[in-house]
Amino acid sequence: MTSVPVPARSATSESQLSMSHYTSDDYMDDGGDAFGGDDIDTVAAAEPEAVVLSGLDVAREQEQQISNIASLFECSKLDASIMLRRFAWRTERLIERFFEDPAAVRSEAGLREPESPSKRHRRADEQSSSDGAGAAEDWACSVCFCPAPRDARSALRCGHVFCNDCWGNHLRVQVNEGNADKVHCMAEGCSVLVEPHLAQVLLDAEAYAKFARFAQKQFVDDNPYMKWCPAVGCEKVIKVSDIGSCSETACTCGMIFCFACSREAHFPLSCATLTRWEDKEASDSSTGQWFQAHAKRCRKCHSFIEKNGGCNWMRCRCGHEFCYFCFSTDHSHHNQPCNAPPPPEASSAQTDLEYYMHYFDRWTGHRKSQELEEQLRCDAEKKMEEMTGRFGMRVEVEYLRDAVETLILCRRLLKNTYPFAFYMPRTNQKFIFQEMQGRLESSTEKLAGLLEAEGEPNRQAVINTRADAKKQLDNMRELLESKGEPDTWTDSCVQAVTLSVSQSVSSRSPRAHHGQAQADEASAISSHI
Amino acid sequence: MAQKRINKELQDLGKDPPANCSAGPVGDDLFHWQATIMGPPDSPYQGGVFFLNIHFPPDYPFKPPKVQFTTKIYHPNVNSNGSICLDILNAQWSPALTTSKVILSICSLLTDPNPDDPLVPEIARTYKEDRPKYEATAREWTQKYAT
Repeated sequence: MTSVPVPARSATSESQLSMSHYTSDDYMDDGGDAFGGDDIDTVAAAEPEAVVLSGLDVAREQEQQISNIASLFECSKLDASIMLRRFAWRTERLIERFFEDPAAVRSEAGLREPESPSKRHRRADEQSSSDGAGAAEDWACSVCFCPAPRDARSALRCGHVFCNDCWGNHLRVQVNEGNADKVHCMAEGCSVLVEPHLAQVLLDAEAYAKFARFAQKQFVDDNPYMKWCPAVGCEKVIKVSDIGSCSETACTCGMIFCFACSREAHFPLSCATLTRWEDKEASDSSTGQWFQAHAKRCRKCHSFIEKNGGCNWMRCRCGHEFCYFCFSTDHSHHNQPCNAPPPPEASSAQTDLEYYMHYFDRWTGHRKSQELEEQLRCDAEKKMEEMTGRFGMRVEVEYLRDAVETLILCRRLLKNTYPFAFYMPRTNQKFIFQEMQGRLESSTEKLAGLLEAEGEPNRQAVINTRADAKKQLDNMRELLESKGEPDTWTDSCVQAVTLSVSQSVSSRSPRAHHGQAQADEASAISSHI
Repeated sequence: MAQKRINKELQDLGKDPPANCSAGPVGDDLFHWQATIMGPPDSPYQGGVFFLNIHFPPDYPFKPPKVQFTTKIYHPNVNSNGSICLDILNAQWSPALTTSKVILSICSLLTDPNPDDPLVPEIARTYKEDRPKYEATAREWTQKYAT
């Protein structure tokens, strides 16, 4: 499982402009720090490279693939494009098959031996005259049964002649069904594909634009190295040089997604574990929905409290303050972790439900927080402009954006650690994991509190808290990266993890502002075990 | 376009009617036809008369017509709603196909069911494993519903 967001390189100047709010050094930091040490170069070199493409770049990519095949097979670009479409743009498979048996590939793609356009027209005419029983005037299109003059008929290379009106209607219907790349000839049982240039001639500008858009969509959908950015309204395409499983990919719009499943990045969960969790959530929806749809009741005035900020310390209008997860009113609990699961008792339906609800509740809570915190991006941008006006130096206020981005990264990882922990057996390893999860949770909450506060933020506090949160984030990633799926976390290798935790803490301690305290905590963990 | 083509098809059917079947519009609606198929002589459907509904979509012939049996029939590729599993009515439709060709294809489907792409798996299994039982049931249904 690769967990490092692939730093995206933008292919056009236009997309570089749109990167404005998401080029914080977070990606690079994450990548570097997560691996740590001297082997960073070798690891980074193994990472797939990702490029963000605009619509124009995709067209260029397509053109490039066609040219490559045309020169390799020594055929026309038209033939190359027909063969590529037939093979769903899987270049390697096409090349392999072509060199095994070029004639079979050509006939599979509906291509006959190369012929000159004039010969083709002559053949089409012969065909049309034989269709029309001799005289050209008697010719009738076999779709609309109407006659049409010679110059208003067309045929693909299969030689099946139809009138241009019918070709146009056929194309329009296919395009409206979302098919542009694989429109077949109209003749019964003929699998020859319509060539794009015919569409350009026969369709009006609007319909052709639609045709071209669908053709491009199909090209990207068929191409295993390309994915659409899944963010709503983003029309960028991300191309990677190597398809790894579950690799996190960043788009210039700020979206970080899993290249394998096109869902939001879900480290440490694998695609399969996330699906398992989502299915569980869907099947338990009657319980889940209640918790998700409604907020919680204040324990003092019993009115419903809806979360309106990312921070999980709630203040009801009656003045009652409590933790959104465990309802603790203890002020010292604020900014403290709240991740201890219900005590392990004899399994029963009741405790199973409680156990699940513990994780479900925190997962939804952090998801909601993440949504709200993503809105902080705009707020931070506004605050930064305002402050730049006063301080004059944008550099002076950029810490705010870095803090928001770190907060979102922390929150996302935190959210995903709950389904992960749900599938983890109750072992000492889980205890260590919970300790780190707790630390990540409290620093995330603290950072959220600072960033949501009204008025001008406390610069030094934000910078320090961000550094702390980032450190917890990196520690957590490091722990998770050293392991596999949650069900494999057994106690047999507990010693190794304890070691790696204390090592990672001590290696970082010179940079951490309370590194010693952490090292103490880590040794406390080992002594507990 | 659709109307013109359906009219032409109707004329052609009148000029050269296919054997053992007939088809034509229901009332004034040119886009809604009824067809009848006589059970093919070399099949357990022999002696039965099967009625079908045909609805032409507005973008016919670029989209296939919707064809459904209205007479109950025991067949691996026809379900209890009368829906037919036939490739040329779906993905393999071609605008050059006509209603007459579609009806003829359905006729040959009655003679030669396609149990490898069934709509009713139980009937397909009986067809493959116990042909006499399939034929008996098909004959029984034909007697009961189609005569």
